[in-house]
Amino acid sequence: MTLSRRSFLGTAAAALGGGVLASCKAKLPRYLVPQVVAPDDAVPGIARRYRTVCRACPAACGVTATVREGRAIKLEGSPDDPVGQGALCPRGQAAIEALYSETRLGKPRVGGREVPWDQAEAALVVGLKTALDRGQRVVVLTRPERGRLGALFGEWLAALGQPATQVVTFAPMDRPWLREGQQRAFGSAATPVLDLAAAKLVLSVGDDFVEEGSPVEHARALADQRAAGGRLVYVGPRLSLTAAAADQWISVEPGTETAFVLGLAHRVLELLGPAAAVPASVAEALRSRLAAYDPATVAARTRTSGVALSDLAGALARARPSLCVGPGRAVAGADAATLAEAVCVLNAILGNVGRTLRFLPDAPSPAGMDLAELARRAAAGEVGALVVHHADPLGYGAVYGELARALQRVPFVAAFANELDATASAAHVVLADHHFLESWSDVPSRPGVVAVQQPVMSPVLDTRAAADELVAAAQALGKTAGLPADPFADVVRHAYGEKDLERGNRISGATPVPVELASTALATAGEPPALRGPEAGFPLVLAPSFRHLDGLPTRSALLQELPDPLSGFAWTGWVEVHPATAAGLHVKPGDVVALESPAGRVELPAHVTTAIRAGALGVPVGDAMALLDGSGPIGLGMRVIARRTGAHVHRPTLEAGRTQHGRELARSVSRSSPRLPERAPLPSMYPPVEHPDHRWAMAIDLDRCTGCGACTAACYVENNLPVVGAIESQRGRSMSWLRVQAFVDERADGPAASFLPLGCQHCTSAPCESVCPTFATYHTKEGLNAQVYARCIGTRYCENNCPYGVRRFNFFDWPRTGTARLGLNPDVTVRERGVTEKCTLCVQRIRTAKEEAKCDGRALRDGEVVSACAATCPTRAIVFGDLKDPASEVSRLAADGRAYKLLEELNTDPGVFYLARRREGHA
Amino acid sequence: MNDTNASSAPRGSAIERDTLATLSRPSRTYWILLGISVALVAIGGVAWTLALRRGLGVLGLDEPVMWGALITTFVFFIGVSHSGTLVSAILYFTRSPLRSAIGRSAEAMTVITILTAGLYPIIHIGRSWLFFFVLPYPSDRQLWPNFRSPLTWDVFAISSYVLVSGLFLYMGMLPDLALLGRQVRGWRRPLYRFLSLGFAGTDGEWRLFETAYPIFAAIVIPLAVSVHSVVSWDFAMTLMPGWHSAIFAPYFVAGAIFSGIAMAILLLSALRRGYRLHSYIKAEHFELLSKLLLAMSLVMTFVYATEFFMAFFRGSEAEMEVFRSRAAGPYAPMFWLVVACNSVAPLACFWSRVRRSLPALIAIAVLVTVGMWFERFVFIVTTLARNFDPQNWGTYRPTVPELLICLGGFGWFAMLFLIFVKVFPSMSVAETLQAEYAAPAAEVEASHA
Repeated sequence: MTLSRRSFLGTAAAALGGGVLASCKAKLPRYLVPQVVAPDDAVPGIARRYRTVCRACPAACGVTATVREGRAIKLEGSPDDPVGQGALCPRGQAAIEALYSETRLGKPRVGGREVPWDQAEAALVVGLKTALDRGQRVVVLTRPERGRLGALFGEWLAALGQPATQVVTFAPMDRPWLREGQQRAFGSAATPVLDLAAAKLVLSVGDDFVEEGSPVEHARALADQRAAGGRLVYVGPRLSLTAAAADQWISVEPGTETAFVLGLAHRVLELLGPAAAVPASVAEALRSRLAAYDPATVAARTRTSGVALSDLAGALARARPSLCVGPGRAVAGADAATLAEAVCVLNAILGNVGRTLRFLPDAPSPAGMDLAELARRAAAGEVGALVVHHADPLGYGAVYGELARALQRVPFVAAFANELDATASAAHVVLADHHFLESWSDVPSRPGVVAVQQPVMSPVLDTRAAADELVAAAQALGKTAGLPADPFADVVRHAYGEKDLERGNRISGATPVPVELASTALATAGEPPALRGPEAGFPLVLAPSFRHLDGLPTRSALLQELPDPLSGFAWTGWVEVHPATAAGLHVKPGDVVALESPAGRVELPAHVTTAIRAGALGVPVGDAMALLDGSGPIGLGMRVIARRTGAHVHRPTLEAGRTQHGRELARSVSRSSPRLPERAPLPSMYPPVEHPDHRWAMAIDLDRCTGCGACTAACYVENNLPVVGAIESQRGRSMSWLRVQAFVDERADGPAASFLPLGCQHCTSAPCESVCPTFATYHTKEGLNAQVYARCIGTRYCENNCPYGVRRFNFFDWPRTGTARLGLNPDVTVRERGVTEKCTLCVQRIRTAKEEAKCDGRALRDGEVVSACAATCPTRAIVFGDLKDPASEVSRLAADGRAYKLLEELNTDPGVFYLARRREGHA
Repeated sequence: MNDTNASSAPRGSAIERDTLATLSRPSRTYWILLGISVALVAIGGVAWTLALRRGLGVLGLDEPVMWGALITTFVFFIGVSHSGTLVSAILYFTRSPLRSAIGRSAEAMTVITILTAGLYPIIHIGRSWLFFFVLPYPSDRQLWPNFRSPLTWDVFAISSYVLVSGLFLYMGMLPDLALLGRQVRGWRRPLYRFLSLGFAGTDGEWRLFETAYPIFAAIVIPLAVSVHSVVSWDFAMTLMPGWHSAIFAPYFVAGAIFSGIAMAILLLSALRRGYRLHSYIKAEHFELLSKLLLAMSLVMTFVYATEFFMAFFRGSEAEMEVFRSRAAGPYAPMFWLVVACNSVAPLACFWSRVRRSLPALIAIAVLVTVGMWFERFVFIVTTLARNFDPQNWGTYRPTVPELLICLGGFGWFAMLFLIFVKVFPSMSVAETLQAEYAAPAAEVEASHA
């Protein structure tokens, strides 16, 4: 065959075209720029930012979503939001992952099979019609929805001819004892607002407020409070993140916290005398009711030192204002409401009400059906159709066992969900809902503040808005009275103005309402009931965790890969055992321990630590769920039998334990003189390194860091870090560029935790740079320790010579398939296997900011470049900036008396400064 | 004397027959040994292929231990390579009678072990296919290797060493190749004729040979010292506790000579037995080697003690921890194995009965070889496993593919050596003849004195 030039070109072109066509088999992305109508000023390659609200937990922090080419790639806190105040927790950072998750429901399902939407809608209509025709009830079971969506559920039920009150809220991690105690103490159901920052002394009664409730807001307030000289004292059985942040941890016997707080109240009343901020008659009544709680008796019962109690009472009496918060889950037993009442009383006596503890009127919410009633009616066969909206009662096992059994008698269950959870799996029809970044809604995050949830992109998958589906079903049934004719999106959109959307919220403000201590306060306080379970068992303390904010182990691979801040465990639960308890059980770190309660059994590896009271066992709340029986709050109250199984896991326990081995990596100074000793600069043989324009640097204040790990999560999302999975991560191959190391050192006054966020130190004389044979890593003129992936051949010499151990090697390719690819940050290279990588100080953000400044014809301003970790830090512990700018925040912090560099004696001259933690007593 | 060597040596002379016996038809044993070594190479190759296809994650390396069994094997083979050429060159200058017996195989061992060692850095790196980035090749982006990096020094040191050792070996073989080119038949004849570069054994050629050969020998000695010093700087130039030490260069050179002698004992005893060279490789040769081995063992013991002493004398917490961990940590059994093999076992050579007992020497040499591999393993891994950050400590365990790759290296080494002894004269014919003819003269001189 002869091949002319012409036919060769033709064949080659056909082959090329065929090859290109053949490689177009991927279904994604469906649209390169997936906007129905692109905004006029949308430019590919330029990020757009939209305000919306994070729905990863009920705190509802305002967020700014960064959108590139029509896809949300990153969430940051919104500075205009009073809750998050510009920061975001690890869970919020991981919300992007849920959006693109490959396990996300992308299609509706009927009877367990994926079907087109029209079939699912028809099934919903048939289910509802059958129930209505039979005269049975239709009930909505939803996560807390207090905005327009919640109202719409009521309207929808009304349109179907059902009582609008048949909306059941499912909030398993709610803390009802707080409301009940407040009701008893103050006779008020108003919303309490804590002003932690204004309190000179905060007493947390087992309240892990930097992990639960509204963690971002409270962590920030706590950091500000402590920076202003305030103190935090934590009373509880476990050294939680909140206790670790505290200046003092008082460990009490689990189940006796109420006695401790009542003893405090007793002593404080004594100390204040007539200065107590309650009417004399009430004070007198309290004195008589608290007469039995003298310090000596209480100390004996709580097995604490009487000195600690008296000192604390004295400190509370002196500190004006102070604030007592709690009780939290770690101490909330069967008498949690009494404990909450006692905390309220303490606040009232100390005069904190109206100063650090204010009450805002709540919008009156219609008294809906509660879970018990739903269970009762369902069991009685009254419920004909149940619409579940983002609620998973079946996932909690025995805790909602009664409800779960009753739900089996409901002939039709439809579930709106994002993931195929236990309840959705059991539902007859599963309706794939939008992610919160794809849909409209509004969330009254607190009295006077409504956060507006707007979509930042068009849906990734074939999902539909829950509200529209319900309305459509009502229309199909011909029952539309009182329902909006417009799509729900328009309903929300028209309720808010352009300004509200730009801010992400509407703040109307709320006036505090006065409350007074009821004269009957503590009248019913009595002996707390004993912990349930076998007498020989150990009290089970539930540990809150960002992984388990809804009480269930998370589905997020990213959250599972983030090591727990204190234990360091990733991809697995654990049980915290005190060394003394462990010796009795013959348990060594990593031994698998079986825990048994009457309700169930779990097996977890042991974490032997002094961060739990001897005799108690701490378990992350999600892993402990199987042990609970649902008869009390999800809190303290069970005793469990612990037994060694004989199995052992080598990882993820740390070989060296949690102490610093005397190395002074995370340093501390005394609160009274917060200065580190001066160190003379070390001599160097090399000429000084010049940084002509900028010297990018970071200051990390260990006094503010609570160890939450939001920085690590933000780094994963921003820098396209792969999640390597359980096996590889437990082998030590996690790709995290920034890890938060927790040290628990024994001090004279008990164990003290310190957190050390550790990423590349961007050394001026970097040991990694001189050893790289190919110049794959080098020092830039702006002070960055740069890594050139294309030049790296993977000798790993740099990793060996990095004294901080922050470089990471790609042992494998970590493929991202399907939708997971859409969440990648297009500004950051995805690294291939065989190369080394590490923190870049978010060089892409530096570049973007410099380009913007250049376009505007001005110099960079301080605070314009913010690394992902610094941006998300709830406590503003991380500050990023330019050391060449003497006025910058980071320069100021670097000159602080608490500032030090890690492993200074090696003379690597890092660009990352740490500010020593301030501790009471000697550092 | 020149003529006697190559051109006019009587055919069938005993010396030639014996020294060239190694080139005879391979025996069954030879084929079995070759088969085993080729199989080992194949297994190692499969393991490496796995690492290439899936990623280096199939190895046991993880945070914080980034260098493990592969780098250990690299350093081990570099160490073994060391003594071959060095010993040969030193023996040349000291006119030792031992040289004619062991010089050739020692030199061959050097070249082959470097060729083996050189594979390991390439296997070890994350992107083996880009290993040439470390070479100073002209590129249009004017990118050069980083001359501050000890790894770059390694590239130069090792490539210089392999070049010079190779030339030294080749040059020493020229007269023999010329001789063989005339003697053998079949496919070898053109090969030897080609390789002998037309060496005809004339007076002029011999004069040039005798001038050039000492130059190479003189270059090889400092080069051999330098190459292992440079390899030691891979570790000593870092700031890691337990590595950052001025003793490393002499320590590595001593260790290299130590392991090289052990390997030489093993190879020579194998050659001697395999080719019945008892009259050439004599008991006193082994005794000399064993004395050297003993001396080196004492040096090694001194170095180990010094390391420990310095770590605790200096008082650096990080460094003390590394040495505590060596002696009592997870790698302690290996450390004490090293002490037993390298410091205790060779002490037996203080007894002349041991020195004169070949089985005993072989046993000691095997122990030293094992000990030296583990010694490298222990000092590489303990430092990385006990670095500056206690929360970044870990324990490294090599995986099966990793060990197979290491084993493949030993197979590769054995395979090349077996091929060498069958293709090239593994004892210098020319020098043996020289020694034979020079010996009576020397005796006469001695008697006169």
